[in-house]
Amino acid sequence: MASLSEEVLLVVKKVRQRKQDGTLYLMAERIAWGPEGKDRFTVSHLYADIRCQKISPDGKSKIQLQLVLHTGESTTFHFANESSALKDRDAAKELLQQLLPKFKKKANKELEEKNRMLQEDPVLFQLYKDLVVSQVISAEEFWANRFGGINNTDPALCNSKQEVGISGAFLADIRPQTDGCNGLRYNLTADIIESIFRTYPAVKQKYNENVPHNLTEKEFWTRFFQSHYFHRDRLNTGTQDIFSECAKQDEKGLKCMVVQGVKNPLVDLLSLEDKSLDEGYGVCTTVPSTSNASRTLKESSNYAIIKRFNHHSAMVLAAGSRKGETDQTSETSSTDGNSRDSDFFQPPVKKVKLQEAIEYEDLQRENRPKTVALNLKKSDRYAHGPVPLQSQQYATSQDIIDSINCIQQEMANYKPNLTQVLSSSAASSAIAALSPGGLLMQAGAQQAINQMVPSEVQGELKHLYIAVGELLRHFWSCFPVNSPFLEEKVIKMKSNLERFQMTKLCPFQEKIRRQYLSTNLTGHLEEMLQKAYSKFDIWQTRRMMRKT
Amino acid sequence: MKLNIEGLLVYFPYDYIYPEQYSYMLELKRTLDAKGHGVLEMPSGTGKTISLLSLIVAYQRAFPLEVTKLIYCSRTVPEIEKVVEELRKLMEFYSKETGETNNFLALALSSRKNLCIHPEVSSLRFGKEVDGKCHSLTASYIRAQRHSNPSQPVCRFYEEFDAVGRQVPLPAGIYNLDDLKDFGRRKGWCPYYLARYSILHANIVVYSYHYLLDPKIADLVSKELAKKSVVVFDEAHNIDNVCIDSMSVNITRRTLDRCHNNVDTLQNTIHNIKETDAAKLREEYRRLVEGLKEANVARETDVYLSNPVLPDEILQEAVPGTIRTAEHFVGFLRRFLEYLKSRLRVQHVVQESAPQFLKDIFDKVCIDRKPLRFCAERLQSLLRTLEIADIADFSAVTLISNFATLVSTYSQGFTIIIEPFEDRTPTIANPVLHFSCMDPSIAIKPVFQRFQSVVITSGTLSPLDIYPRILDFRPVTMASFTMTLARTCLCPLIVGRGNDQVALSSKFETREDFAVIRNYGNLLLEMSAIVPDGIVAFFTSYVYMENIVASWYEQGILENIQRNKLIFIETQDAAETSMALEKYQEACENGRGAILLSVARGKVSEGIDFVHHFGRAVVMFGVPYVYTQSRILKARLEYLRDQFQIRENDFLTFDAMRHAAQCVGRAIRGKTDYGLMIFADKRYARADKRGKLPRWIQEHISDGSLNLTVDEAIQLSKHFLRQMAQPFRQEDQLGLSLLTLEQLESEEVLQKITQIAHQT
Repeated sequence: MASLSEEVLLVVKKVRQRKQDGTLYLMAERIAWGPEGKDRFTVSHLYADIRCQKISPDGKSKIQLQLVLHTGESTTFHFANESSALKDRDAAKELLQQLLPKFKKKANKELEEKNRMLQEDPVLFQLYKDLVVSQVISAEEFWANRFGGINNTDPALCNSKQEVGISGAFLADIRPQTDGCNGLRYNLTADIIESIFRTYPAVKQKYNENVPHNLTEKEFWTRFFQSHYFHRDRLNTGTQDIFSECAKQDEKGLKCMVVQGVKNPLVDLLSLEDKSLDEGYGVCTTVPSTSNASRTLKESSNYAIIKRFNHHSAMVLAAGSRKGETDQTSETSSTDGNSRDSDFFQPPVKKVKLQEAIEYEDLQRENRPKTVALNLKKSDRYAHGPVPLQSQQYATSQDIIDSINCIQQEMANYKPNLTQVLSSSAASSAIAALSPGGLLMQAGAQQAINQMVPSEVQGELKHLYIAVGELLRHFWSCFPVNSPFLEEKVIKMKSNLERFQMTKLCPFQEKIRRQYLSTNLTGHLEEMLQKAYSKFDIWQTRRMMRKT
Repeated sequence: MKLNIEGLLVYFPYDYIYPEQYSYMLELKRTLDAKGHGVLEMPSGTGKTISLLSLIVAYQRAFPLEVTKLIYCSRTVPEIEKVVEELRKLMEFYSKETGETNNFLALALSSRKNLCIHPEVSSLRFGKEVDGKCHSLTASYIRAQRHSNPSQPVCRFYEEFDAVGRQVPLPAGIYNLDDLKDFGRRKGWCPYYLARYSILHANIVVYSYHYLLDPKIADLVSKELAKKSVVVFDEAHNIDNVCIDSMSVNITRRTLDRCHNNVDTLQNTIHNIKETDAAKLREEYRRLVEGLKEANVARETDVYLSNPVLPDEILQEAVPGTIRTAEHFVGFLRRFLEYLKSRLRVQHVVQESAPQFLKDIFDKVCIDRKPLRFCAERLQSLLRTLEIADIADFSAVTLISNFATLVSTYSQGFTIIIEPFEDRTPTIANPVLHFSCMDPSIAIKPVFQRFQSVVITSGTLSPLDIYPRILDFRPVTMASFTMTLARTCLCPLIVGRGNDQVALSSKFETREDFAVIRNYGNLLLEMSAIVPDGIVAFFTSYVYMENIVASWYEQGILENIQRNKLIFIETQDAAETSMALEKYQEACENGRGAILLSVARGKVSEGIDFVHHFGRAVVMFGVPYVYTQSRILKARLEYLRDQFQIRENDFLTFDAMRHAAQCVGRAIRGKTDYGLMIFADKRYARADKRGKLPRWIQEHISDGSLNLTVDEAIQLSKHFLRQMAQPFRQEDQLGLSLLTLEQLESEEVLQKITQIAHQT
C-alpha cells in the first residue's frame, strides 16, 4: 500500500460512508476513507479538489461531515462512534479547516478562472450545464479543451482585464443637490468612490483608518465633502479636519514628483537654458514677486487651484497606469537610487528623443508599410455627414398647373393597344403567383418559423445546437486519429454523442411532437449526428480491416 | 543627394529636398560669397538647420581659406544638441559618399553644469554652484598652493587635462555634450576645459548665444575665435532681448549690502597680504602702470573679439593714479557705494541719462568719469592679485564695477531709473536702480564687426526689415521663405466673437469682463471636445492666466473640460512645470488627451515643441503685449523712436506678434505635422497685426476666417481635422513640396523655386 508512506495526520475510526463502516484518514495531501477490514481506500480526495466542508448542525441526531468538491460532487461521512462522535467530527473539521486554505490557493487560481469564465459567458455556462452537469462528458474533458486555448495565450492578457481608467471629471459628476431644507445632497456611486480612492490614496487610507471604527461610512463622506480638502481653498485647513493630513500628503507627493524630475530631457525646463544671467543683470521686467509674504490671499488661492489641477490630473493619469507603473517603478528605483546614477541611464532616452526630434520622415525614402487611403469622392460629405438633398429648382405654381393639364390631356387621349397585351391565362397565373401563398410570396411564410415555435422551445433548441456543436467539435478534432489517446477519445466521444442523443435530443423530439410542432426542427441536428456516426463507422471498419 | 548650388557641390544627407531648402541654400551661399551678413526667415520644420549645415560645411570644404570656422549659436541646450546630431548625420553621409573619413572637428560647448564629470561638483543642482565649486578647485593660485600643501583638494580631471590635454588636439569627429563627457571620462580629462580649449581649432562650434553676446562670458570663451568665421544665430527672433539683458544691471539694497561685505573682505585681504607678501601688490601696481597694452596690441592685430565693457580708449591708457594702489581703489569703491546708497534713498521715481548721472556723482562725491571707466578692469586685476577663491561670492562688487564702467563709457543707449517701490505695492519700500540698456546693437556690435558673415535666422523674423534697424547692421541678403505645402496643414483662425456676439479681446478694458472670460472658456471647452490628443493654450501673462483659471473654476468650465481632457497648467516654478509638461505628454501619448495652459513669453512658449499629437491645436487667448506700464519699456520705446524712427505702437505690435507667432508656431514642426492655430482676439483681424505675422502663417488666413464666432471656428476646425486625419503619403508631396534630384535639375522647377524666396 503505497499511500501508507504518506504522513497520516489523523485517523478517525468508526466513520460511515454510504452506510458502510470504515476509517477516515487525513493525510498530508488528501483525505481518504477505507471500509472496515479492507486495506484500500474507496474514497480519496485531494485537498485541492475540495471546495468546502459542511457539518451537520448541532443537536441533530446524525453527526456528519460533508465534503463538497469543486466538481460539484459531495461525499458525506457519518461519525458513528457513540461516545466521541462529536469530538471526532470536530477534530476532523478543525484539521481540515487548517489544511484546506493551504491547498485552496493552488487550486483557486484555476478555479476562479473557470468560475469567472462561466459567469461571464452565459452560453458557456449553459453548455457546461448541458454537458457536464448532465454527465455527458466529465468536467475535466470540458475544460481540457477550453483551457488549452487559454493557457497558450499570454496569461497576463487573459488573467487581468484591461483596467479602466478614471474619468478626469469624476469630482464634477458629484453634483450637489439641495434637499430643500438648507442642506446639500451629494450622490455617490460605487464608481465614484472607487475613483476617489484610486486617485487619492491618502483618502483611502483615511477611510481604512476611520471606517467603521470611528465613523460610519456616511459620516465619513459627509466630512469629506465638508472638508476644505474637497473645496479649493485648502489654505486654512483646520487641524480638527481629518483630511488636513491628506492635503499634506498630497503636497508631499507633488513635491516628491517635482523633485524626482523628468525623464525626458527635452521637456526639462530647468536645464533648458544653458547659462542664465547672473543675479543683478538683465532687464527686470516687473514680474510680481513670488515670495509668499507679498501674495495676496486671492492670488495664493488662485495658485492653489492651479496646483490642485496639476496634481489632480497627474493623479488621474497615474491611477490609470498604476498597474504598469508598479513594475516600472521597481525597475527604476533600483536604477536611479541616487540622482547622479541616473546620469548613466539618461543618454539612451536622450539619444532616442534627439533622434526623433531631428528626423524628417518625408525627406527619406519611404520604407514603412503601405497604408490604404480612404478614397473619398466627396470629402465634404465625409467631413459633415450626409446632408438631406434639397432640390435646387423650385416649380412655380404655373408649372404645376401646366403639367397637370398635360397629363390630363394625355390620359384623355389614351388608347389601349390591345394587340400587345398578355394572354388571359398568363395574366391569371401571374396574379396567382403574386397573391398570398402564391409562388412568389413564400418568403413571408418562412419567416414565421420563429413565430410559430414558442420561445422556450427556441431557447432549448439553441442550447441543443450549442451542445451538439461542442460535442461534435470534440469529436471531429480527433481526426485524423493517429495516436492511441485519440483513438480512445474518439470512441468515447462517439458514445458521448450517442448518450447525448438519447438523453437530450430524444426527449426534446418527443416534446415537440407532443406540442404538434413540425419535427423537422431537429432534422438538421440529427443529420449532423448521422454524419459523425457514419464517419466513425468508416473509421472503425478501416481499423478493423487493418487489424485483421 | 548631391546638389549643385551655383557651382558649389553640396552633400545633402536626404533623398529628397524641400524647394525652400534649396532656395535657402542659394541665399546663404550668396551671403557667404559676399562676405556679408544676412537675415533669413524660414518656417520651423522645413529643415533649416540641415540646410545651413550642409551648405556651410560644403563651403568650408571648397574654400578652406575663406571660411575657417562655423560658429552656430542656438538658444537652449536641447537645441544645441539637436544641431550636433544633425551635423553627425551630415558627416556620416559625407564619409559614406566620399568613402574617406574627413578630418572635421565639431563640438558643442555648454556650461560646466552640463559638462562636468567631477563626482562631487557635478552633483550640484544649480549652474552657479557648479561654477563656484569648480573655480574653487581649479583656480590657478589654488593649484599653486597645492605645491606647498598637497592636502589642498584640486580637480584631478583638470589637472590631467592641464598636464596632457593641451598637447594632443582633440581627434577629428563630432562631439556632442555626452560624447565630450565620455571622452573626458575615458581620458580622465575635464570635458569643459577640453571643449573650451578645442573650440579654438574646431571647424564647427555649437554653443549658446551668451558665449558670444554676453561680454562677461564672451571675453573668457570666444575672444580668440578666428575672424574668418561664419556666425549663425538660430532662433534669433529674440536676439535683441538677449543683447539688452546682457548689458543691463539692476541694483537693489541687497546688492549694495552684499557689495559692502565684499569691499570689507577685500580690505581685510589687502591688509593681510600687505603684511605677508607686499611684493605681490607692488608687482600689480607695476603692471597697472604699464597699462592694458597687451590687450590693446591684441585687439589691433585683430586677434581678439572686442569687449563692449572694455572700450577702446582705455586700452591705450594706463589705469589712472587715483585707483592704482589697492587701498586707494577700495576707498574709491566705498565712496562709490555710499553714493549709490544715497541715490537709493529716494521717495519718488527718478529717471536720468548717463551724463546726468556722471555730473551728479562728480558734484556730490567728486568721482571723475575716468577712474569709473577703469573700474571693472581694475577690480579684475585686484581679484586676481588677491587670489580670491570663490569669484561667485564677489558677484555683487563685480556687478557694481561693471555698472561703473558701463555708465561712464556709454553716454547713449542706456537709461537710469530709480524706483523707490514696486508699482503694485506702493507701501513697501524696495528701491531699485535700473541701469537699462536700450540699444541691442551695443552688445552685438563687436560680433558684426569682427566676423565676416553673420547670419540671423529663425522661423519667425517678420517683419524682416526691423532686425537690421534695431541691431544696426547692413545685411547683404534678406529673405523670407514660405513653406510649400501639398496640403494646407496649418489652419489659422481668428476668433473675434463669442456665440453671443460679445467681442473677444484681452485688451485692458475688457480684461475682467465675465462675458469675455466665459466665451474664452466656451471656446476651449468646445475645442477640447473636437480636437484629438493635445491642445496648448497660451495666455498673455501669468496674472491673467491665474485670474481666468480661477473664474473658469468658479463657473464650472474647467470641470466640463475635464470630461474631455486632463488639464495641466504652467506655473512660475520651472520644476513643477516640467513635471506638468511631462505628464501632459504622457496623457497625449496614451490617448487620453490633455490641455496645457501656458503663458506667452514663458519658458514653455520659448523652448518646447509640440510636435504631432502633442499639439493638434494652439489657442492664443489675447494679444501678448508686453506690460506697457513699465518705465524701462517706456524709455526703450522712446529711444527707438528717437534713434531708429520706429514708432512705439509699431514696435509693441511687432513684439506682441512675434511672440504670438512663436506660440502658435510651436504646433507645426514639419510638413507631415498638422495643427490648428486659433487666435482668440478680434484685434488679430486688423491689417497692422495680421501683417506682422510670418508670411507662412499669414498666407493661410483667408478673408473668411478673420472674425469668426466660436461656433464657426468649431465647424471649420472639425472639417480641417477630418481632412488632415487622412493618410498623407510621399507621392502626394512629390513635385510640389518635395523634390527629387531630377526634378531639381529641370529648368521649369528651378524657376518655380525662385519665386518661393520672397525678397525684401
